[in-house]
Amino acid sequence: MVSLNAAGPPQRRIALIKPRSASDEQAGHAVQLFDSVLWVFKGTTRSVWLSTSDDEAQVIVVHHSEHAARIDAWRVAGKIVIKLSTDGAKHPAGPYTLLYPFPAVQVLGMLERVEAELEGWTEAPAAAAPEIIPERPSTPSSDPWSFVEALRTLRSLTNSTLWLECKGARGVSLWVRGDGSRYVCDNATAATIRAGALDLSGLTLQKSAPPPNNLSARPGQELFWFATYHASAALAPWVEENANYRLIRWPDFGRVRASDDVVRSAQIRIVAALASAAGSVATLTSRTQSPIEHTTRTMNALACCGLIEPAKATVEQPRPSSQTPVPPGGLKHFLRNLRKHLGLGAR
Amino acid sequence: MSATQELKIVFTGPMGAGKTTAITSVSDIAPISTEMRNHDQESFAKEATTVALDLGHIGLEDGTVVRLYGTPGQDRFSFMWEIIGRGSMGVILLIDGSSVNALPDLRTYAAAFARIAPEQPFIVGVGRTRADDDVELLDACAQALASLQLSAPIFSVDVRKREDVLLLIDTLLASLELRELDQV
Amino acid sequence: MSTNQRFDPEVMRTGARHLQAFATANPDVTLAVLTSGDGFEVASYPPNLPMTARIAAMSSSMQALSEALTREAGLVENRNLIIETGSGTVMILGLATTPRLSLAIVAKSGELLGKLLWASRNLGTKLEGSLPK
Repeated sequence: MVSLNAAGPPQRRIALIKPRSASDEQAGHAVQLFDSVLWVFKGTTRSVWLSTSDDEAQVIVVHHSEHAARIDAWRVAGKIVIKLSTDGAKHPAGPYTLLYPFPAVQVLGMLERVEAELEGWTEAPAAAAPEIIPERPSTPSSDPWSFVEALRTLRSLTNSTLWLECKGARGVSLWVRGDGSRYVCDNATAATIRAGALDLSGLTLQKSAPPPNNLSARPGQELFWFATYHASAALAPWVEENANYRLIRWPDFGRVRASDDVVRSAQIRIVAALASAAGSVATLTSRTQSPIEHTTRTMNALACCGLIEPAKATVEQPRPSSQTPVPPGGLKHFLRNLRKHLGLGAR
Repeated sequence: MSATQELKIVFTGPMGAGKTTAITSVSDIAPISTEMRNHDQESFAKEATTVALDLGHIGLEDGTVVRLYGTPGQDRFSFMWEIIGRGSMGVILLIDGSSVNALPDLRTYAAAFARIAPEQPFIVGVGRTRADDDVELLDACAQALASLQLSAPIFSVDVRKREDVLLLIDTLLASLELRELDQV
Repeated sequence: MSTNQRFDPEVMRTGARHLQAFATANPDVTLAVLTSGDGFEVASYPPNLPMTARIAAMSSSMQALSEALTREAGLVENRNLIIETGSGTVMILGLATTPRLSLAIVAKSGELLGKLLWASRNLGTKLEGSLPK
């Protein structure tokens, strides 16, 4: 993301314009969200973005409700205008329009596009330009991945001094550290996140003061795991249906254990299958005899937590012969009986 | 290999990591214990130490018996690790996450049992972790194993809770099952 | 912690004295080790042999197992464990001392088993009489 030259990264001047109407809360949130992303990713983008007045700025960030005359004046002055829309029907997402709530990755893509224009490139560098997401529905909760995408973006950062607060319609009190390694909330919220009873899809991350001292910090992997697992039964955008994945590491099931016996058992089997041999969603479902939804959700969560990666095609090494003692009746029969005796999840 | 009616799962790890507690939580009967007064209070502030083995028992309906063996923790009894570890179905290594020796202990036991019971599933349970630092500790554990060309599931557990011990056993069983499946 | 700090020096001296006298009186004895319940050497004769520490640990394990087996079998007063081999005998005796100690005697063949057992039990009695209960 950052390209360095001998003189250091270029500096760009950007102005974030307050919405005309103070009563339009969403408009204010949209501008704050953009500002938060700039803050969070400070030092990691290709250019250094400096906040200035609109007179000095090269780039103006403005709510769609701004006077058209003012927007035209900025454009005539050679400034690039980025619009933040809170009305997808009248102001849909476009090359220079972000539809609120927008994930961080869209802001970064927008900045790359703007940099390309400022540099005079005819098209943005191929490696840096993500596709512009087409018009999104105006109800935030219809995109199950928006919050998880924001978390995934955080994981690549090392800004451990920053805290972000999760803002949403339901007054959720949830903070995430800037590097994604910790999250903070009360026990009741943590329980609902673990149970999948909290709709996180409508939440956005905004920079904030550190969380209150009376709340304990929890491992970020917990939030990543449960937010992703419960987000959707469909395959996540970052998991390819037909790709083989290999396990990098087991999740800490001591921390991200499912409360449901059947789900927990399925998750353990799916990861054990991956540990034994690389596989795709389909092959893992077949090998573990798990419902495909369990496999899909588990793969989504594993990928989000960085615990699996696409497997390179390799020559299969001959496996050493098993040293496992053979129980009477066979291993499968024995394992079933032992699980039953111990009260482990039925399959 | 002929079918055997008795199978064993081995719990190992340093003194005080919770081996006896873990076995007690899942054994059908009170385990046989060989604890003696601990004269090495400077190293381990525990009243007693296991000098031979702990032995628990799970009896299934069809007569199959699963023996749960706990090894002595101190390395002067490492000769018992070889005796107990040979022929096991799998090994559960318990580590005290609050100990300054957590990583050296992990390396010692992992290396020993990788030699004694190669190719058998190996599960690591790290106890006494704190929610605000266990990520770094578990990462360090994974790196410690990787330095020995080993990898294993590593879970934060509290072996005073039966469900945590069952998690370790369930993972061991799943690892056995899926591995056997892939060999067919 | 070194052996010197772990046990009462007087216990160690008394033990060493008795073991030396025993070995002198029984020339086929190749090693005598007084061991704590948790496998540390308290005293030995001859002193400072490289194998003594392991013998101490192993004999404590075997003593503990034999006591556990005694309990499981519903028996009482575990006395001694005898290992007969083609080239000698190992005898392990538990002592009624505080703290619990045990005695491991290694003798090469030539020593009559009965004589060795009698001599070892006498040694045990002397040690129990000399050491704290």
